[in-house]
Amino acid sequence: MSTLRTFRFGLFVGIRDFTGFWGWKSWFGGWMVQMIAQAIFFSLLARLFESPDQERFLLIGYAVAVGAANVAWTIQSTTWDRWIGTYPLLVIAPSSLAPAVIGRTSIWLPAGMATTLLTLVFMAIVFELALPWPATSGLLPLLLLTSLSTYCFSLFLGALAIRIPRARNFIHQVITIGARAFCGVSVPISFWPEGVQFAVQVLPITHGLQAIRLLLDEAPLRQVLVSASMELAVALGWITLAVIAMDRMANAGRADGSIEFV
Amino acid sequence: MIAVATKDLTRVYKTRGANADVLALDRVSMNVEEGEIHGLLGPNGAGKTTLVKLLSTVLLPTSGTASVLGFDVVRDTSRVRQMIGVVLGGDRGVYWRLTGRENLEYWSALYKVPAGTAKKRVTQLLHAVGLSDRADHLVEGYSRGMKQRLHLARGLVGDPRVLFLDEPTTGMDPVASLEFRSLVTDLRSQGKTIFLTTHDLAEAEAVCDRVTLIDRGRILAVETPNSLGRMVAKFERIDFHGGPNDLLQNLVAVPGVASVKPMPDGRHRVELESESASREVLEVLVKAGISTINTSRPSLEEVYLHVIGDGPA
Repeated sequence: MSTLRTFRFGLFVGIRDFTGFWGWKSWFGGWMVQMIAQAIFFSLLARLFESPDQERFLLIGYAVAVGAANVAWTIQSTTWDRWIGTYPLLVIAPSSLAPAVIGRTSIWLPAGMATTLLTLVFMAIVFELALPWPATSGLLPLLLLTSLSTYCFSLFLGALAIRIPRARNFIHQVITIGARAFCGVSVPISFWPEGVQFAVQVLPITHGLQAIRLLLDEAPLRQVLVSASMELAVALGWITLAVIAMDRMANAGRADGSIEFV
Repeated sequence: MIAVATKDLTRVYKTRGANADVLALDRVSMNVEEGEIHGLLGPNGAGKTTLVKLLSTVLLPTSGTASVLGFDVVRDTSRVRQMIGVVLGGDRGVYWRLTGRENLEYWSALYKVPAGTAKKRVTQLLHAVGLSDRADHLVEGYSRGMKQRLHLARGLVGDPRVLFLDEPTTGMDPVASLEFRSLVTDLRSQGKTIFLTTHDLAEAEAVCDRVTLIDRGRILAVETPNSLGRMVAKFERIDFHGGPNDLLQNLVAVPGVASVKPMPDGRHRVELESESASREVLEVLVKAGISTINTSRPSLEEVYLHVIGDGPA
């Protein structure tokens, strides 16, 4: 019960972080406009080459990618307890560190999903993207799954960044750009050498985005479910590693004295 | 019962790029009785915070042992964590975008206090630290003193038997410091053991039952506030301006006067090495017609220099 309460209060802190950072006007007028502009830019590039298939590929890919970039703010927010001096106190609290950190950072999960959904709806209207019914009804759980695996991966990276909090923005940038390049957002995964194709199998977005593409192309349900299951496996793997890493980083900090009272 | 015990506790920090590692604590052995307010007094860099970090399980020792209420801080970490509270100085360590009440409710969840108990305890603590009126205001609007009082309440939310206060009055104004000390003294009556680090002599004198003097990672002495007070009084300084030619010679001749030195502003400073010399020096000055006289207490560093010097380090 105390774990659930800790998570709930952590989430509450996260909501206050989010609302302290973004107002409705700045989120819609700043963040969303920027994200939609990115998706439009790449979709227009495809239109320039008069390739409807590529346009659809980029449109769906970037709608998912901009949401993932938002979810990846988890990396930064995992380190925030270090900046405000609460990290050593969380480490020595009788409760586990994980529910507090997961609670505080999980706000980026719905935020990222909302980013993707709004971008997708906007792009579907402007670029006349076909959203077949009833297949589209499965979009929401797949988006949730893709955001979840991105969140779990970001949480793992955030747990590592606790040791080097100054690197948090750099890590976010590398991951955001890397995902767009290698995970099937900008170009099909098959474009890359085999080694890269193999490596991205354990990264988030890869299978989730594949499942979304299959869904919107009205592929057999079994194919969609196979990709979705793989995305779920990726999510479970990264959340396990994230919780272990949080614990290990705290112990490493105890050993080398890097947990400061500030 | 012994609340806090250390034996040959040593901590060495590995420093990247530097030739030598830093010895932050050097074979520290000490005991703190349960229910005692124990001060750890030393200048910046003495090793005070390192000792608190070790005792509160934030840091691992390089060698030696430490225990809290009989539980080893390395082997029985989770047991130790259930029995301690830690309060840091400064205005960090609380969530600024939560209210005071929300902060305490969050920390009570982290300390596994049952929800019903937590609600009552949070209200009691907010009242005890004088924040009832501002309990539902965001912490970002609190003054530094209010944040520090909230910190104290946060440290108490798990009802700890041992409370570590690391430079708790840093940056507080004198009134807030006084209020804070009064709150700490109240905790003694509840039977809590308090381990307080400070570099403020007056603070150590005011609230502590015993004071451990520490410098360069080593314990130099363990004193009661009375003996600390005597130590401070013994090395009182008396500053004056002007006077006849033979005044300096008369002052040097007074038993217990260590030195009479000119100061850059034209005044002279008489440094004492005996408490009893103070009265006689003042009499000599008054007889010489000196009307502007200031007495002052030595700084912590000066006490160290006089009493302990560099010998034990």
